[in-house]
Amino acid sequence: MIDIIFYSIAIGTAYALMSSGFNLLLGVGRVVNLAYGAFMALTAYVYSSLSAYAPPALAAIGAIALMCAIGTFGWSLLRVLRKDEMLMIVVTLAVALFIEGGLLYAYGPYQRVVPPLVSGAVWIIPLQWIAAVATGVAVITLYHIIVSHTRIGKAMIATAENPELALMLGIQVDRILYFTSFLSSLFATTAAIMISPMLTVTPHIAWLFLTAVLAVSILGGIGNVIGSIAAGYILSFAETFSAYYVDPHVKAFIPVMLVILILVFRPRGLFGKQEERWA
Amino acid sequence: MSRVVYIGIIIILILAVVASFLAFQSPPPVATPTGTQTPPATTPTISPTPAATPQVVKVGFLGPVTTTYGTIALNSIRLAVEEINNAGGVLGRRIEIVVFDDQNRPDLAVTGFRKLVEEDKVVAVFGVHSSAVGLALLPLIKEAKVPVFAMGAVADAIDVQVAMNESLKYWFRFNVNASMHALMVTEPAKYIAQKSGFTKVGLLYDQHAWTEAVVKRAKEELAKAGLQIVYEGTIDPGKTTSFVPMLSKARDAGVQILLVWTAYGDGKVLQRDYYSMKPPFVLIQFDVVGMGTLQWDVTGGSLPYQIFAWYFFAKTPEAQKFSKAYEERYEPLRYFYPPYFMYDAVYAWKSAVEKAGTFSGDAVADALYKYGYSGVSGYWKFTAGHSPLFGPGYITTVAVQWTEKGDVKIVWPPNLAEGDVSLPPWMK
Repeated sequence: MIDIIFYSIAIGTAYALMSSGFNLLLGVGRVVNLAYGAFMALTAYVYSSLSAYAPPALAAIGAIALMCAIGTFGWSLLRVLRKDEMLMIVVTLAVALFIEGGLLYAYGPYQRVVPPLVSGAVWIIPLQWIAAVATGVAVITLYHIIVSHTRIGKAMIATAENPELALMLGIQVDRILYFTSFLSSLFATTAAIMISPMLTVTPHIAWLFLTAVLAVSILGGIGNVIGSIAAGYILSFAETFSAYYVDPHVKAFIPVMLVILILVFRPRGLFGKQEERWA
Repeated sequence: MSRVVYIGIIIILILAVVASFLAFQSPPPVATPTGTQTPPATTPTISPTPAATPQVVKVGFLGPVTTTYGTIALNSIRLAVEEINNAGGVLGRRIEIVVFDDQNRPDLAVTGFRKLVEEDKVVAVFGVHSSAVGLALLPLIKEAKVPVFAMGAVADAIDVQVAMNESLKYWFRFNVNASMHALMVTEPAKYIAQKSGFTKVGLLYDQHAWTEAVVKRAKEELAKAGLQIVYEGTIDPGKTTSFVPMLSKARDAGVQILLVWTAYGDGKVLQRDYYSMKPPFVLIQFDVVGMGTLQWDVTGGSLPYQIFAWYFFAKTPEAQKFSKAYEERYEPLRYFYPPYFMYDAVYAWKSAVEKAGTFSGDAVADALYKYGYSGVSGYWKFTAGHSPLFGPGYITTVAVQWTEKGDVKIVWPPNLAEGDVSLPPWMK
């Protein structure tokens, strides 16, 4: 039982991280990026491919650096889409399908085992799970330090609250948004490298990632980073314990079930407030 | 955030879930991808010797040629054909192979079979992996009277039909049937349980038609051996992303040996999670996709102490000669479904043709059933359902155990064993 609890914490940390990145871009940049799951899947494949030629830690750093660069400059496309919400949804969905198709072409549809960052175990807990939790906590802590104690963090909050006013106050909003895109990418890539060795990846995993991200976001409150963290753990525990106590096949229905429940009983999410903007 | 975005998110969420279910539809069991799917087409294989030779007899290959096992099966058949042609052919005729990619689809297989028989005039058909394909072909085989040498199609239902219907005598399976797949795992499990004093076992298997007969037979065998089943779980074929809950539950149930049957690529995830969690039980598995030394690379070396039921891994001089010839012609043989079986199938057909003195399907089928064939895999003698006899002296599968160094040793059956089973150190 103890390993199930720890596994849930490890997966929950990854869920929290990936959803925080999604909501960060939504809260500050006002972008619903439906290519987010595909971006994570692509990161997992890049990491897996690099690890064939380099030690896992080096491969992870290489994959994060490469994908963060792509994610940061991807803001150039996303910023254009902000003007039309329907266009944003359609284009980011198309990008997701394009990435999925590319992965299918390059790697085939088959399951792929991604190497762990660290091997071995402490008692009955694999080190990869511990590394996932530690990395996730470190990244989220770093994020809060940036937001709470740095000028750029305060500028992000200002941009999230009112970008026009932030611009009038002399904040270089465009740069802040690129930085936000970088942070969002960092969250996504780190989460992908943490979670993929605990699961298995196929090109279609993009949709499972996106499903988890959207479920956690709606559960925690759209655009709410704190809510994402809490909801990440709720979803993870619900999935793992239902698989343990009921049936592993039930796991696939849990995210959708939670979304339906929250939309019926508390549409704004567990931690969401109406019209809240949070960086 | 406008209502449009909320509605959009909800629609996309629903679409994503539906898409993921559809996208994760079980792919055929394969080890690794070997390229893109090609449209079904017949491809005559050019004989390695001058094409001017007038006396030619054609045989067909009907199977999923773009999968790993399909490619290896075809390579093995080509190797046997080349050897036979170089030695003078069959009844003085050179063999030519015509290939049809059925993609494991019954509809394509039916089209392909008709094409091979009616247009290409083949006198024998090799291949046939899927049980659905095998069942779809039975009425056509009866009509065409052309011997078929299947590499898979292990459903017991085929045996039943063949045993009850004389006009299906042209069907021969060069593989053990589904019930025997149960024994491939239960026999080594019983052997280990007896040696180690274990009494509690668990079952984990694909939730799929192919495991129905397997599980039924496995439960009967385990009950007869006095082994108590304390855990039973199912695998969503091709979709399972983590086995942590299942392994944890098996451990909490007190399982001492976990018996596994999987055929859709989930095995590698199970093997990774087992080695990562190190639950205190022995893992014995039949994993079609993991049936070879390739699996070590696929799982990143997560295999130590795990036991696998493999179709064939004997180190007899004949088997090693085939393995060496395959390596010289293609590449090192690292995947064992179904090269030995299909290589034997071609020679078994040749032997039956020569005994019958004709290519006639009736005579060839009768000769093969009457005399059987002794090949690199063992002695092929067929039951009334035209499935090979399974056991010592006939077709014998093996159980191998991976070492920490990445080697495998045969641990069952005792007469072929290269060493004792090493219990995982985390069980102590």
